[in-house]
Amino acid sequence: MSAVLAPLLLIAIAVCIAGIAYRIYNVLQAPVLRHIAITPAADSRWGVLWFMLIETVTFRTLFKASVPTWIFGWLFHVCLLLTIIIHGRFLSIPAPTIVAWLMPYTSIISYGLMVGLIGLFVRRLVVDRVRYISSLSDYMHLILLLVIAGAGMLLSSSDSVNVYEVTLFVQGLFSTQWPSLTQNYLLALHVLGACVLLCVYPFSKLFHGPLMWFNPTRSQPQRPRS
Amino acid sequence: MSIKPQATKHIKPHLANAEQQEALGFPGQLIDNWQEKVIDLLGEKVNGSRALQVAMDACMKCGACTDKCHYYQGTKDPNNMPVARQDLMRSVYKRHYTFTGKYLPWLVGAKELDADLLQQWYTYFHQCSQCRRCSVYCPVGIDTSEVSMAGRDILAQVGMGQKYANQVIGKVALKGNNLGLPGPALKDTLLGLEEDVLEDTGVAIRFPIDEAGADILLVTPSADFFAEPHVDGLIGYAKVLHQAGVSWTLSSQASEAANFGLFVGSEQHTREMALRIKVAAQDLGVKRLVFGECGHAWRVAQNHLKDLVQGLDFLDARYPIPQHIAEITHELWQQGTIRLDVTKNAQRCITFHDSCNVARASTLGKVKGGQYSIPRDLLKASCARYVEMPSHTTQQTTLCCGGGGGLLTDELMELRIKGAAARMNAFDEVIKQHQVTHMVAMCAICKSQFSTIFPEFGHAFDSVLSLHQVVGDALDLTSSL
Repeated sequence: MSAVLAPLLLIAIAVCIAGIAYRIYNVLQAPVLRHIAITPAADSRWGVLWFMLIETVTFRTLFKASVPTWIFGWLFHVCLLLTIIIHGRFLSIPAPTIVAWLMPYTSIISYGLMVGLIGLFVRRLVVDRVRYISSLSDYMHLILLLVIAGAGMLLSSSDSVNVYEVTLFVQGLFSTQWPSLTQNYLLALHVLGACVLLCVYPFSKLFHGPLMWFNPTRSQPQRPRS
Repeated sequence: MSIKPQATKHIKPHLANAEQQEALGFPGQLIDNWQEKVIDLLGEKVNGSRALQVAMDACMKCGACTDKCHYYQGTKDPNNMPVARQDLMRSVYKRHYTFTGKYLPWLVGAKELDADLLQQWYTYFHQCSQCRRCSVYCPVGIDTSEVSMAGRDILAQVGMGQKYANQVIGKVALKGNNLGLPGPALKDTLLGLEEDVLEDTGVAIRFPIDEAGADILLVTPSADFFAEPHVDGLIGYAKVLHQAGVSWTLSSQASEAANFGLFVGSEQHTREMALRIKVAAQDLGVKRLVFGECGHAWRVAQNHLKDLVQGLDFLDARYPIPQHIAEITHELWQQGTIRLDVTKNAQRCITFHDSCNVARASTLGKVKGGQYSIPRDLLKASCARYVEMPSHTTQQTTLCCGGGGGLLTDELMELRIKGAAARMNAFDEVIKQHQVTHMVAMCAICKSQFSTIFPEFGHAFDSVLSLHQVVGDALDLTSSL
C-alpha cells in the first residue's frame, strides 16, 4: 500500500508547497494602488501586525458579523490546528512532548472538528442567503474535510492501525525505500483525502487565511499626515 | 426576511449618451467586441490591484456580509448581498483566469460573460454606494467598493458609462464644480450670503473668493453654495474662520471638493480633478488647504491626494496637508479661540449620522477615532440635547445614507428610499425615545439624500442639518477674544 500512498503524498506535498509559493508571489506582484485601510486602523506597522495576529487567532471580525458562523468556524479551525499538531505523534516514538500533552484530548478535539464542519454545512444549506451564494465547490470542500476527519476518527478509535508502522512510514517517506503499510482501506481513504486537500488548498478559497494578510484594507496602517 | 431574487433588477441609472461618454474619452456606445474587451480589462485590473485580486480570490463564501448592506436590507434582492455583488465579477474572473473555472466551471460557479450578465453588472454595480460597511464585517476585509469601482470603469471603457457621474465629471472639467455654476454666479451668491449673515447676526462676515494671498484655500462641495441645509454649513465655516481671524478664500476654479472620478473607478479622472485643486492653491498662493463637509472628497484628499498630485510642498508644512474644516474648528474650540454656547441651540435635540467615507475610509485629528469624537465634541458643545443612534448604526458600522457613490440621481429614487430605510429606522428609534428633532451630517451627499427622502418617511425635509450649521448657530460672535 505504501507504494501507492507514498508517491501520491509526496506529489501532493510538493504541489501544496509550490502552490502556496506561487499564490503568494502572485498576490505580491499585484501593486497596492491606494491607501484603502479601513479606519480606524493602527497607525504603525507593528500595530497592524498585532491587529492581524488578534484577528487570525480570534476571528474577531466574524464574531462581530455572525455569532453562529463564528462558533462553528472558529471551533473548526482551532480543532483542525490541534488535530494537525496531534498528527505529530507519527513523527517519532515516543511522541513529541507537546503532542503527548494533547493526545489525551484527541477524541474531544475530533468531535469539535466534526461539530464545526457539520455546523458550517448545515448553515450553508439552511440560511437562504448563504445557500444563494454557495456553489458546488463550497459544499465539496466541507464534504472532503468531513470524509478525511470521519475516516481519521474511525482510525483513531479502532485498533486497525499500527501506530509504530505508520510512524516508520512517515519517517521513511522522504527516503528512497518506503516502509510498507498493512492494507487498510480506511487509512487509504484518509490519506488520499488529505492528498486531495493538499492539492486543492493553495488553488481554492481555502487559501483565504494567508490572503487576508495581503489585503490592503487590513494590512495598511491608516495614513499618517505630516 | 427571506431573499427576493431580482427584486431590484429594474432599477438602473441612465446610460451616458455618446457625447457624455466621448467627453471623458470613453467610447460613445457599446463597442462590438465588448465581451473580449471586458475580459481583457478584468484581467488587467485584477493583476494591477492587490485589493481587487484578494477580493476575487479570498472570499470563502462564509456569508458574514450577506445581511450587512443597507441596499440588501431595504430590498432583499440577493444580488445586493456584497458577496453576490462581487460574484457577478468573480464568476467571470474565475471562468477566464482560474484553472478550475476554465475546466470545471460548473463546480466553482464560473460563468461566461453574456449580454444578460453585462446588464447585471451595470445594474448592481450601480446599486452599491461604495460605503464599505461590508468590509468592516468581512473576516478577510474584502472591500466591495473596489469591485464596483473596477466594474464601473470597465463598463465605461466598453461604452456603458453612467450619465449622472459622467455629466458631473464633465462639468467639473469645464466649470470647476459639479453643478456647472460659473464664476460670476458664485460671486453673486457669496455677496448675497454676506448680506444675509449681516442681517441675521449684525456682524460683517466675509465670504471671500479668488483672493490671492489668503492663508487658507477652502475647497468645499458646490452644494454648499446654494442647497439647503448645505449653505448653512458654509455660513458656519465662514463664522468660525471669521471669529478665529484667519484669512481664507474660496476658488472659482476649484469650487468643488467632490471627486466623482473615485466613484467611477477612473484613476485618470480622479487625478485630473485633484490636480485642479493643486493648481488653484498655487495660483492663489495659499499656505494651507482645507476641505469642507464632503465625505468622499475628504477620503480622496486625505488618502489619495499626495499620490495623485505631486509637489504639494509649497504648502505650509506646519499644518497637516490637507486639513478638514472640522479639525480646524475643533482645535480652535479646544484652544478657546472660539466659544460655543449651547443655549443658542436650545430648541434642538440632535443626533449624528456618521458619513461612510469619513467613518471608515479616513480619519480626523490626531487621536485615533477622531472622525467620531471630533464632530461629537463639537455638537455636544453646541447643543445640550445630543443623542446617539443605536451603536450598530454609528461610527465604524454606520449605515450609508443611501445616496452615496454616484447614486444621487432621480432615476435611482426607489433604490435610494429603500437603501435609506435602515438609517430611518435608527432615526425613528431616537425620535420616539428622546424626541430628537434633527439629524446632523457632515457630507454633502448625505445632506442632499436625507433632505430628499425624509418626507418619504414622514420627516420634514429640513430635519437634516450641517455640522457647521449647528456649530455656527452656537458660535459666540459678540465676544472679542
